[in-house]
Amino acid sequence: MALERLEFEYTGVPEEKRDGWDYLHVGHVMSGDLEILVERLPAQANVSRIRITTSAVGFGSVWQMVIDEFMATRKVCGCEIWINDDGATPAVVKLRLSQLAREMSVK
Amino acid sequence: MINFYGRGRDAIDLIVDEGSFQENLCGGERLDPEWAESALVGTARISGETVTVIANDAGFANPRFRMVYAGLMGLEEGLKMAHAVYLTIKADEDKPLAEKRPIILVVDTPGMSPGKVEEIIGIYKSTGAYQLASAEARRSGHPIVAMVIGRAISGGFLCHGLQADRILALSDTFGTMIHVMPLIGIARVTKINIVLLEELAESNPVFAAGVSHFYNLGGVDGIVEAVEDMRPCVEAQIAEIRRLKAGGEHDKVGPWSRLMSGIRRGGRKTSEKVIELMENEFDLALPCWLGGEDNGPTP
Amino acid sequence: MDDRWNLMQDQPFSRLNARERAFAICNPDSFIELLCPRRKLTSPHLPPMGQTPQFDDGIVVGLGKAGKAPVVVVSQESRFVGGGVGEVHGTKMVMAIRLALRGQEILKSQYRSSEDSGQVALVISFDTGGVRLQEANAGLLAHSEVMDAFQAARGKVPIIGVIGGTVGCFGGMGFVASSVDVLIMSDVGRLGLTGPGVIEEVVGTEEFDAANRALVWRTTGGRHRFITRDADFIVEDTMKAFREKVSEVASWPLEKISSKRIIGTGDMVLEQMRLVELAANDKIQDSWDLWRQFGNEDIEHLWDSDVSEFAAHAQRWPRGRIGDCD
Repeated sequence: MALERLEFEYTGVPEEKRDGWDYLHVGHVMSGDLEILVERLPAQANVSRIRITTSAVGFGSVWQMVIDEFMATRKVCGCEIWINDDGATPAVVKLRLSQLAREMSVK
Repeated sequence: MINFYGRGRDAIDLIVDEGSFQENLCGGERLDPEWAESALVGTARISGETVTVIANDAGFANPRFRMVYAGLMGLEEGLKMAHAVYLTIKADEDKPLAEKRPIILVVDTPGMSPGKVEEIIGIYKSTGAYQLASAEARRSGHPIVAMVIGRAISGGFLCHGLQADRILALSDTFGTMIHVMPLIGIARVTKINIVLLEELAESNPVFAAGVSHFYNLGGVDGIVEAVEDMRPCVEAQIAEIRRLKAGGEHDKVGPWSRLMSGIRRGGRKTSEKVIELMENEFDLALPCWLGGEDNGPTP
Repeated sequence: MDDRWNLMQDQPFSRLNARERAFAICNPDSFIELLCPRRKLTSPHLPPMGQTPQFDDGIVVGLGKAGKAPVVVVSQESRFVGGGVGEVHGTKMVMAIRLALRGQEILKSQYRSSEDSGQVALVISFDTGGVRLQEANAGLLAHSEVMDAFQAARGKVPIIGVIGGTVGCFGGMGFVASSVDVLIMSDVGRLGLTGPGVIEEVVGTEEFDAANRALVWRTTGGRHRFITRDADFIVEDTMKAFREKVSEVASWPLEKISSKRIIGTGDMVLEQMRLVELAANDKIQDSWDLWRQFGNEDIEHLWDSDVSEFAAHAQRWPRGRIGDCD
């Protein structure tokens, strides 16, 4: 019954341009969905941390894959990403991540 | 152990001066004796002082509304109780704070009546009206003490009890029931395992039934251990409420004071953080919110 | 930012989330959220039950401007545990009301209060089933604190309620919504105490079939609540319609806003008694029976007509005390 907590860390090159937003938020916690909160770490940080809280226990490797892919394509650096998940499928997770990516580029 | 389910009348007799309760007399006005009989209202005396009494008499069903029985509060019941409160306010409107008569609530209701006609008319207004009336009476100086003798369930407790200055409850040993829903119901609706809920309820008062849980959350101000203690406890509360109101300490009685008790008793620790953070953020945002080009602070 | 705001105005209010509603009900770029998701002030009670918490606990609170009026905005998120009121959620709402009162005092005492600087108003968008069962006791207590805070705000801060979300407003929040000064609903919005499923369970499917959407909506929906005057306005299900109405009402003088109340005085109790009398002894089987009594004739046409036509032609409950015009 308890929730599972996962944590991933990624290292990269610090962003050069940092304007537009301090934090972003997308999604909802409801069955089959999730919310994602992104906060920028102080400038020059080259580490991104991702913390996931999920009610679906035992899917650590799937999360790893989805997040790896996102981090590789988006080159997100110097951020903390917080995810509250209520059993979203990988497809929904990807959908929310791309929504997040859009917000990152718009703002 | 005896219990008081459905015995609102007996409880009134144990609290007020012997033979002083006059049913359907409110602030000098006589109410129709056949109107919503399970909403028992009237005037009595406690140690000689005039008080308004509002109670549930679960022995009556409402012949005009068939979903009102066993102490359930219906459309008429809520309005009758609200009416009794407004008559009380009016009767004492010219009196000084110290002479506003107390209102004694004797609580034994399993909740609001769940019916179709109740929804069509909008039963939330009946009981909403009663809550607003009680809050107004409390804020205008009437000491309101609720004595939970049996069932104080969900919306029933919200309108009949939770707007009081102080709430007393007979202890769990009398079978006193205070809750929104029994654990088995919560388990069914939320699909959370009942065994887990039972286990969590031992250390967290936030969802499980019981007087002591509500005490830890601040929702009950005092627990009464013996039947004969009800009267002196109610009297002591009236005196204490009067003292606080005379000193202008309106936040030390009523719902807000119970939130503060809940924080002190450890049952609502997170609320304390919410209050502190919101106040801080509000203060920081104020100049930007209220300010503006043509509306800056006065020098 | 203005682009986002503009885009939202044409969208259905019911489809937007709580944060979008709060943001877009205020003037462009005026909304400042309090206890935003970054604070991560989540419910500590849900994780042990296996329920993922949400960073805002299903309620968005903030400050903004509606027209010229500074507003405190509260917006419930029904997607998260049905909009249920738990400890954090409830205390956020209670604090919003208290802060609106404080804001009003500060505006009057410290800021130049010319005629056009307006007054602080409280706007609450309800989208909730009431108490969150996982935190039932704290949720129940929070309701009583909200009602008390409403009474404290009487005559000082006008309260405007909005119901247009997919869940509507049920349970104890029904009391709260009926205690506001002005209530604005859409066709999508519903207001009640006991949810359709529970009524069906108690009174039986023959009398109330919770799966019958038409029945559910004509019992608790915006049109019926407009007829009984529980709702003061019925508007289209667009963000813009809600925002314009809120701005308009927020600009009224306090006395005019308060005059729209349906409960909160002894006289209003007598009025409600008169309405209840119409339903005694099974005289009412369906909300439409009531519509007919108020003089509505072609009810099916009225039901199907668009919102503005409905609002223009609906015959509403004639307010009046018992004995006034019997």
